Order: sequence, then structure tokens, then C-alpha cells
Amino acid sequence: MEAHAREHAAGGAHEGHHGSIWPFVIALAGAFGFGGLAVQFWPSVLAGVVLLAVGLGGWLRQDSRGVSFALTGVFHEHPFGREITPRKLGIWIFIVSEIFFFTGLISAGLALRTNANFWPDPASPDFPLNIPLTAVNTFILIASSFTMAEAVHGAIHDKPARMRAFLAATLVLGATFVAIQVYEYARLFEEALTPWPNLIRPELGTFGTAFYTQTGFHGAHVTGGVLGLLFLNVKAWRGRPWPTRAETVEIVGLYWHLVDVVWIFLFPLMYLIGR
Amino acid sequence: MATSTAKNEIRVAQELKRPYVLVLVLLAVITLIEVQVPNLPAWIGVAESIVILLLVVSSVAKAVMVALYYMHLRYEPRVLKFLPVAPLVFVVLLAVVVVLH
Repeated sequence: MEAHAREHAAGGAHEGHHGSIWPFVIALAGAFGFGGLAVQFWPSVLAGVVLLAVGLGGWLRQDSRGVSFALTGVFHEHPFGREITPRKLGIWIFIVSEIFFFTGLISAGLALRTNANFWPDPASPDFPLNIPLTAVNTFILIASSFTMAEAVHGAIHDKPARMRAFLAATLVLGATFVAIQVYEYARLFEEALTPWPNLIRPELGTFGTAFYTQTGFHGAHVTGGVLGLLFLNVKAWRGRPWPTRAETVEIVGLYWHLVDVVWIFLFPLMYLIGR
Repeated sequence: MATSTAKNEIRVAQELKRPYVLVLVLLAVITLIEVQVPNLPAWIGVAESIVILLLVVSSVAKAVMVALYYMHLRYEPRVLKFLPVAPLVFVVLLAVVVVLH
């Protein structure tokens, strides 16, 4: 028992082990970083960035040393019902928290919209956003959800070649989405749509704030997902299969689909609905 | 415990059907239609509120398809199916507040 506790504290690798301090460090990074941003206290933002680097580095290092984070227990819905692994329950609870987050964010955007003096009409030629380009980007994200679902299917059915190919395709599609969004942001800045009111097109100030906040948070989530996919691709392409590979791919997939679902609502809200 | 996990994976493997391509086609077609919806008032004179209603319905339909088939909720236990529905109470509440304002 004591030996187990010592090993637990050291984060050592043993069958079914799951302890890691690094997710907590990353959560602390978020608290310091975003807290600092909120009150514009830059040392706290810097502490957040440093903690993020340390947390991610520590977690990757621990993973590269073969520590399994998989929980092997199961959550019983019902004594004779089906079982859910704790990792899967964990990602679903995380997804629920993300739905809360984006609901709040979108509601704030709707409140801005109803109170704004001016809101551009998507059907008007003066509409600042590039609807065709973003429609293409939407197709790209939808396609990446499809490739991710195929990758999960390949992982669960133990078809590694299929899984690898679709994981790589998802990574490429996800990175393309981010690249197109960065390109669009750059063009919009040139056309004086900024997250803050500007002197060239002052009437677009409120729209700009709502647009960049919502699509920016979504873009940050996609970027996080792309980094996760990069990590998963490296693991899947170079290493031997690990025992919980199917579940890991499924969990990353669930996050990726969440990001797609959020975009399914954000795209019409920001690009297709006027006031 | 490890056996349970393996059994769980086998269950998922057995139950997973793959209407993935069909869902992809439906998502793409609905998106193509969505992009044209803002032009409806100019084309056939429908009210702006109909545009919003159409887009909300199409978005919900797309999200449900992704959740049921790509996120496999259709094949999951009941407790998982209802978990993501829980925050929707919050969505309704916020929508009401926004509309009242």
C-alpha cells in the first residue's frame, strides 16, 4: 500500500495508473493568465504563460516516458446497465462545461447585437465578412469531423493504417481551417474591422467586438485541437500501439466534434443573420 | 476491471454503424442551403424572422446529427445521452433573457 502511494506520488508508471500533477498546473496557468488579462495585471499573465509551458512540457515528458493516464475503472449507470469508462465520462463533463462557456459567450454576443446602434446586414453589399470563403472553411471543418469519425472507427476496429490516414487528414483539414481564419482576420483588419472601435469605420465597433470574441475563442479551441491532433498523429505514426489507443483517439475525437458543433452555431450567427 | 473496459470497447465496436458519409453529405447540403437563406427576403420577400427561424432549425439539425452519429451519442448509455442536454436549460434561460431585453 505504502509502495503504491509512493509510486503514486512520483507519478510512476504501473498498470492502470493515472495520477498526474500536470493538468492541475495547466489549469493554474489558465487561472493566472486569464485572471491577469481580465484585470490587466501583466506579471500574472506572464506567470500564466510560464506555467502553461511548464505544464504542457511536463505532461508531454511524462507521456513520452510511457506513463499511462488511462483510468481502468468503469462508471456504472445501473447495476445491470452499460458501462462508461471514467475518461469518457470526464471528457463528456468537460464538453458540458464547454457548452456552458460558449452559451454564455454567444448570449453576450446576442446582448451586444440587440443593444448595438448598428449591425451589418449579411445580404447587403457592405457586409464586412467574406461569406463564400467562410462557407468553404465551414465545409473544411465539417469534412474534418467526418475524417475524425472515420479515424475513431479505424482505432476501435483495430485498423491502424486506416486510423493513421484519417488522423493525418483531420490534422491537415484542422490546420487549414485555422490558416484560412488567420488569413481572413488579416484581410478584415486591412478593411478596418477591428475588435475595438476605430476611426475609419466606427459604426462596426460593436460588431467587431462580438465577431472577434466569439470566432476568436472558437479559433483558439480549434488551435488547441490541432495541437492535440498533432500529438496524437506523432504517437500514432511513430510508436507502437498503446493499450488505450482506441479510447484516446475517441476522446480527442469527441473534443474535435464539439469544436465542429460550436462552429455549426457560430457560422450562421455571425455570417448569415443580421439583426 | 480491464476486462470490463475491453468488453465496453467490443460493445462499441459491435454497435457502431457507419452512416458517416451520409451525414457528411447532409451536413454539406444543409450548409449550402444555409448560405443562400439570407437572400430569401430579397428573392421572395420572406420576413427576416423566417430567415432566423430557418437558420436556427438547420443549425440544431446539423448539431444533432454530429452529436448522434459522429460523437456516437446514439449508441451511448442513457446517462451520457442526457448529459449534454443539461446545459440546454441554461440556453433557454439566456435566450429568454436576451429576448426580454
